[in-house]
Amino acid sequence: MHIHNNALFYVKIALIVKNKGDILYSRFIFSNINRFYYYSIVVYIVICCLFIYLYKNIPNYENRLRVTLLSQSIDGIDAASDKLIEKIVNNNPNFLKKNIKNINLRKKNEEYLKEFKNRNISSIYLLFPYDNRYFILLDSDDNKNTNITPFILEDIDTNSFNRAKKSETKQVYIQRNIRNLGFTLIKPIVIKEKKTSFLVIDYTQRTYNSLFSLLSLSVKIIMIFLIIVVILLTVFIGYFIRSAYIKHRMYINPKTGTFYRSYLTDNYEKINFSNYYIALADIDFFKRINDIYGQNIGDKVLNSIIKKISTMLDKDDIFVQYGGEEFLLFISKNGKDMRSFREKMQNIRKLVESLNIRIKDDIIKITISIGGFIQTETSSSLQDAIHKADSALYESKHNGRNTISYFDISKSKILYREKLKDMIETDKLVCFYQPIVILENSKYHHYEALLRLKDGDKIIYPDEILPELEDSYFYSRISMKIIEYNVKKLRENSNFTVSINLSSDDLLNDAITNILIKNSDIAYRMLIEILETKHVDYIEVENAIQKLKLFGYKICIDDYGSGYSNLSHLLNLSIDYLKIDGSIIKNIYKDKKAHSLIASLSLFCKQNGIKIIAEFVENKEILEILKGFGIEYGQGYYFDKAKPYEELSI
Amino acid sequence: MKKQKIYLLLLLPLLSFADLNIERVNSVLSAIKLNNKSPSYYTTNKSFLTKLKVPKSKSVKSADILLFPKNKNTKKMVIVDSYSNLKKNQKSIGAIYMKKGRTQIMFVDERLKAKGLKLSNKYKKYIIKECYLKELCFLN
Repeated sequence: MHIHNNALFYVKIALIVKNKGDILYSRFIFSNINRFYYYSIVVYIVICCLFIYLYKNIPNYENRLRVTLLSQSIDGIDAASDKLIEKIVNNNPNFLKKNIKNINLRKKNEEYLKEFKNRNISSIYLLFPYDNRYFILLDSDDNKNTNITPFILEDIDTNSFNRAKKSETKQVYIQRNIRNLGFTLIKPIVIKEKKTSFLVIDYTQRTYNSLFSLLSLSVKIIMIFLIIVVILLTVFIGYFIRSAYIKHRMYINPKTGTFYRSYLTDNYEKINFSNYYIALADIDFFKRINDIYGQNIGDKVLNSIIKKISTMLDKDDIFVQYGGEEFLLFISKNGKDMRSFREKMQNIRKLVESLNIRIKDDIIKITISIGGFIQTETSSSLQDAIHKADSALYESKHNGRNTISYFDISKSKILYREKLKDMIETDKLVCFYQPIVILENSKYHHYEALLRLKDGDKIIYPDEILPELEDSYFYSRISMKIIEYNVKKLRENSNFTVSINLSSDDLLNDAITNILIKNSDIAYRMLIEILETKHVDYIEVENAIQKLKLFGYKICIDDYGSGYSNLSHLLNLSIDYLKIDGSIIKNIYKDKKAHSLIASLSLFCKQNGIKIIAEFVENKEILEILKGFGIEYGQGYYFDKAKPYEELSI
Repeated sequence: MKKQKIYLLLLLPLLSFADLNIERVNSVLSAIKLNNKSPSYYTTNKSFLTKLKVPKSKSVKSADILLFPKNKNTKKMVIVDSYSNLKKNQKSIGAIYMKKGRTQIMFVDERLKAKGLKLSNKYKKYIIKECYLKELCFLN
């Protein structure tokens, strides 16, 4: 349990460090790529130098360790050699002269040396100094002559002898240059404070190896480990630099030094957007420059504008090329209040407005629209914050362009365009269904499909959607989705009949009419209610209606009596149904004019084979009046409210 | 087994010089001067001869100093291959051999002078006195 808790703790720490590291990495690498390369290389060089230092010094440390271990391991031999010396010297200060004079004594002592010798010892001998040289007095190897021979020492021997002479203590040193020798022990023989000679024991390579084979192996393993670490480090740093370089190339426009949108897409979670004011800016009518002068010139102009705007930004600010001529600006809140941000936006707008762009012989003037979002800390995500800035940009465009608007968080109930687009594309669009009832027998004739949007558990009504939703692309996209949704329901249930709402612009949209024609086999179960729009080309709309009727669709004019509806619709369009607007129906029992109007309409429609649907039938009184007029269908809370498809009893 | 012993015996001359510190040998031999010139050397041990970086002769006749000669009766100056040979052969000026894994190079001062050879003071440690060979020297 304890181990488990520890492990969890370290994992948490690691994740926090990684997260912080990722954030730092993103900010640092993309703002300071050159410094990143520099620091990476410096770190790598430092590590390589450290490696070289270790590589060069490990043998030294190893040597010292060996000598220390050696000194400790020969304690037993040390005691035995003391006894040997005692035997030879016999506490006689003149033992040297005695041995020099007496060859038999030397032979006897050499026998002692030979007895002492074992398979770990290569040679054991007694040296004495004379005339700045060393001479072998006794030698375990000398079988015949028992000569006193001069002995030339190697440099390492000389150094150790000097140390032994000076310190009067034994010396152990490793023999590296003499074949078959592992190490040498020198024991100074001091008699009555007089240094007389040295007992020297040369140990075999085998002895040395057996003592230090493990150490050698350990050192080799450490060296191999170090080499592997350096190789891995090289590969890692190389990969890291390469990856940073590629990402940098991918994320940053080399001509302007600004970020591409891909930087945002890949780093949404890493950017701490609440530390920034956000502005979405769009160059007004930039498409014209591309259309007139070509894409290449357009790109050059764009880059020069980006560079100019970049000069207005501080080093903590981020410039992202969000779309073709759309820019996303992150203005750091550090040291800047709202007023400073607004001033900066204004300065940017004025800067762009003041530019005289020379293209060939023409001088082009351009303007920029900006949407700003100040209270970024109120957003749940960066995407949400961008959507709000986009909404403000939309307002700027709507207000005539070359202006700046700021998102008002008090209007956050309005579903702004970007979010709506997301919801539509991710199939959050649904329909609720309200029945249209045959007034005579209260049987359900069909259902009207009413647009709703699902936002989690919340249902969003159309009146929460931006009022200028008649923007053609967007509105048509919704219409397309509604058709697809209902076609699917109709195909699932052969007893189901619906009416869907389309605008006259939708009828003129080939994509929409094509999908209707494609599904014309179920046309008899889909009534099309045409919404009124400002400008209607009756000829074209009538042509579209005729075409759809050929394929079996029935057409209804919706909301007749309100908005843009007028008699021209009735006179110029071949409709099958007329839906009278609820604002007229709901007052029918108390409003004489409404009453008369309905009476007239009812007569007109009867004479022209048009069936009437009355909206907002809220009570029995209204129902009875409508029945009195001979109106065929009704819709309203008196019958039922709009429900999701799953709650219908079909 | 007999064959192996014979091969070993044949290799012995080679083996005996195998571990010599040849750089040191070259350094000392190069420092020897005969009438201010470097004497030429000759040895029948071809592999050793090739490693020497001193003036070399192609024959015994033209050489000033013979290295490890087999003919002990030669009149030429010789360098022998053991201390005992140095002691025995009064005509030898020095010896080069291995002892306890260390390269032993020694020249007898009196013999060098008798032959007109000089070895610089830098290599003093390789020069021994004649009396060292007699051991009584150490009793003084």
